[in-house]
Amino acid sequence: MFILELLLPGMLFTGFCIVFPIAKSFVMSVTNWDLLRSAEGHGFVGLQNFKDFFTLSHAAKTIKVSLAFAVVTVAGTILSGLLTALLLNTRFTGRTFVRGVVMLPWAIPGFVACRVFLLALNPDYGMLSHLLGNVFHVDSATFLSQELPAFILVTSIHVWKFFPFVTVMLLAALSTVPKTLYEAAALDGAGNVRQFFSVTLPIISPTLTTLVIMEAMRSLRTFDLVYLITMGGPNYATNVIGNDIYHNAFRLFKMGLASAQGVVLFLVCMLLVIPYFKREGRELMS
Amino acid sequence: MNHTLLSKSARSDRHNPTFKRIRVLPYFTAVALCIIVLTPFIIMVSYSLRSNAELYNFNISLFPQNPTLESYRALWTQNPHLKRIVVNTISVTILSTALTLVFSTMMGYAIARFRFAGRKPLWFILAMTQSIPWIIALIPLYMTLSSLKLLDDTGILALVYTACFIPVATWLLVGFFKKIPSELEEAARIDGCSQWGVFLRIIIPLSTNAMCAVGLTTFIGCWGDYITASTLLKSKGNWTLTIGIMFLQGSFNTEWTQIMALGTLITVPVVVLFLWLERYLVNLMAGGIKE
Repeated sequence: MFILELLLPGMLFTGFCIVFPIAKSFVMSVTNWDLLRSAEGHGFVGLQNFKDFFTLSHAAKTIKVSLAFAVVTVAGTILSGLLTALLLNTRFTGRTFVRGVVMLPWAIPGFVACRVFLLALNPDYGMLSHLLGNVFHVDSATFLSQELPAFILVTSIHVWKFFPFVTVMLLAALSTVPKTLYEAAALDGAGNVRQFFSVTLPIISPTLTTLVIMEAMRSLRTFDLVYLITMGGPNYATNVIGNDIYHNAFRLFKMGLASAQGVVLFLVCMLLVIPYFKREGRELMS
Repeated sequence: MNHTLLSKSARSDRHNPTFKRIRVLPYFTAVALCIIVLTPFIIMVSYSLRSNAELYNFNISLFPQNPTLESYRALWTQNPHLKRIVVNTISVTILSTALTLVFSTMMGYAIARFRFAGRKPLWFILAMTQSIPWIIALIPLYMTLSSLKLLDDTGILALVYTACFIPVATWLLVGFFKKIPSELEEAARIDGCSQWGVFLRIIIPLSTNAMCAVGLTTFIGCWGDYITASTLLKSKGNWTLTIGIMFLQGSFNTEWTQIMALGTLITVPVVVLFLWLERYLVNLMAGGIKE
């Protein structure tokens, strides 16, 4: 009874706002649910929405861009997170300050960060665009108008915003490496690089694997930065799947199509996380 | 001279093998890191302290030549809705943070301490719901709320945020509760404490740090959300701050200095809160009960 009292409110909230909607999206994905034509009702259309999704003119590009975005942002956050964690794990004056400061991008609201980057890259009065133009001779107008620069821009902002999370997790993992192992390795004549690959890496690799999965999920999940910077453009070059779903659902009001896309995305995410959660679950139940 | 320098650095290096002997590198990377991390914040504040005249001057500099608070004043006087929006944002964020904390603590405690039928599926559902893309649930939720005529309501938004953050908050707290030794609770039970009594008088006081950390993540999540709020809220009087920035961005004229001023005002509370509570968060994510 006590257990039920503890669980009930949380279960009601998640049930009503997450579990039930996801179940409903499976139902919606096989109907022609369209907010603009709701008077006609919504009939069963089978797998038509899924067919529509894969025959959209930009479907292949959306999938390619989503994968590229996931790979680049995961690599970017993990690598920069690892480097900063290794740096902050050494002792130097001012380390506490840097440790505090490095987490700040995670705290700034994404919306605000996007406005700042957009203004800073504004061709007329952007500080960064002046710097890029005068020092590196890069025309910042291309950032939003050409495909590759736009893609680089949104991935960079994503990495900037989310690498601190990786840093903190890895710092925790690094603090569990016994110092004696390094001393032993040093006695055996192992250099810094060798010590990293033979001592550090094996110990932090479970954390790294977890982080790769978590960051991959984040890349598939997070599209507000893309939405606020490029809206998926130019020519779908930054149109990650989340952005496409949002656009179909809340700009074109094609709820059926958007739900079908959501179902596909949901299944992909399941494939990614189930092995990981199975392992975590075993630890919990022990 | 050379010798003393070397031995000094060797001594301080005993515990940091990764960068042994490369003394300049940490400082160099630390400075580079700080620049990368802090530049957007500096840019934001710097723009907010300019007059429009200085903004449209094409030789823009990193620091404003004539710092002025004009944009902050204009922001406040020219936007009568702002006060309402600030109140909305603060109340939504505080309400959902509080509710998330209460419910996820209860749920996390139950999952961490008791064995009951359905514990494993429940834990699995929580794990899934915190990692799947939120947009998948947002579409049907929008439809349901729309048919129940519950759209455009800040109270409902707060409840949706609560549901959104319960899974991840519970997840973090389960890991924490499992580390509290159960002897404490057993002793309290022997002394005649009820189950709720144990929870409220033993567990909660032990978990204040972890709860601060969880509250911090929820607060940051609600405060900075754009997608959910812009989907569920319509009328100006119900807006939150992140959507509120939009009204400064007209189709003909964008008040950039005011946007940056509002951005600074939105960011300052989170940054202050964050720097204050960061260590608890780091400890919780690291899975320790360090005090």
